[in-house]
Amino acid sequence: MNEHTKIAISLVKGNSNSGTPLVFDIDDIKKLRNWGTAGILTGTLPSAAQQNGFLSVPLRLMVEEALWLVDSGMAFFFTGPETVTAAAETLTAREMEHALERQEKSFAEQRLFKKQQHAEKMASLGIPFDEEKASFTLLESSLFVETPSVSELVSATIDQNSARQEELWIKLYNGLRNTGDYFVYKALKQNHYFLSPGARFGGRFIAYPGDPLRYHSHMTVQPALDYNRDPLDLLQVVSGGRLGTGVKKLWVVAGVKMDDEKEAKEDVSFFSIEWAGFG
Amino acid sequence: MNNSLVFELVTSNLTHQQLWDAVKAHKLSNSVNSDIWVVNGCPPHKLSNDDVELTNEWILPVELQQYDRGSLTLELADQIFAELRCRRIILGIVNDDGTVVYYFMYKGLHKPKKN
Repeated sequence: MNEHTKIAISLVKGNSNSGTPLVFDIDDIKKLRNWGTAGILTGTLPSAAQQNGFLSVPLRLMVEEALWLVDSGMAFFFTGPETVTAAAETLTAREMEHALERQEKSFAEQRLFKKQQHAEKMASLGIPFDEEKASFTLLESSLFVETPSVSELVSATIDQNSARQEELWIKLYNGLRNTGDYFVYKALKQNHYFLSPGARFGGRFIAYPGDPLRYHSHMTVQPALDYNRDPLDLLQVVSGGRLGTGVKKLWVVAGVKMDDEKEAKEDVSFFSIEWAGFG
Repeated sequence: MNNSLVFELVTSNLTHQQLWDAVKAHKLSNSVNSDIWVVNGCPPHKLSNDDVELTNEWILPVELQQYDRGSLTLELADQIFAELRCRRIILGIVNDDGTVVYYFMYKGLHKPKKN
């Protein structure tokens, strides 16, 4: 496990100006899963596109998810090439030497392993093996240089509690189509639900009672309504309720007190709707 | 919200089509500048496998109109739940052709019913 305890969420600029939250570190992804955040793996190669089940890092998070993780102190944002440049500038000659030493150590381990394997193979074939005669160039060209997908340096040098973090948080929050959704997410999280994007079942979120690999989801949660003003759209109730009954999920509406202070917004009212089975 | 034009339709639908017993309409008291009626009755059989026994149900008649989203806000739903003091109400959604469809509405987060 890495030294830093907070999870690094990269905000990658896409079509939206606030960025897409991605996590690149496999250890961080494990931690997230244990904390009840599954996310969606998105990594693949353009020349060898894969089915969803075989996708790899980076893990894409919902915006609400990223906001919640940072808000509850479990993660921090990092963004832009300037962060990387700034981190690279702090690099000292000693650290460079240290990195080279580690590289050399890894090469030494690999050489030893490969020689051993070669010797075992020769022995099993009954061919006498002379280490002196083994090809040096062949061995050297088969050594791996690992390119990490995350930078330890950036995580170590970035200021995790700065005003910049706050600024990024607010920018991302304001980029939400419906800011009430963040409070709905938060309230469901407090009830220990696993959440994933809900478009598959016509909602904003799908809520699972535990890890999605172990449980079926119970609810499709609709985009947040204004508690005092938004009327319940009955046509939506009928179509959503029919769909929900068909896939054994409750159709959940959530009301957020949009005009009030942040504390009042966190008091979200939920209603669960399903077809009564007659009429 | 005003459902004074549709509650009688729901009452007769429950009595004569769904064969419910003791169906009666009540006017809610605490609704300020609104005219909200709810219907109480007893279904002919258990409505959900999760119900322990046959109980009286509360039905809230609402009118479905294509170009009008109505006025049932979640705040109002909370007030209705507070006055009726029940676990669930049933939305009786009245279509413009006179048919009625019924949906459970539970307060809070609830589990899907068992089959």
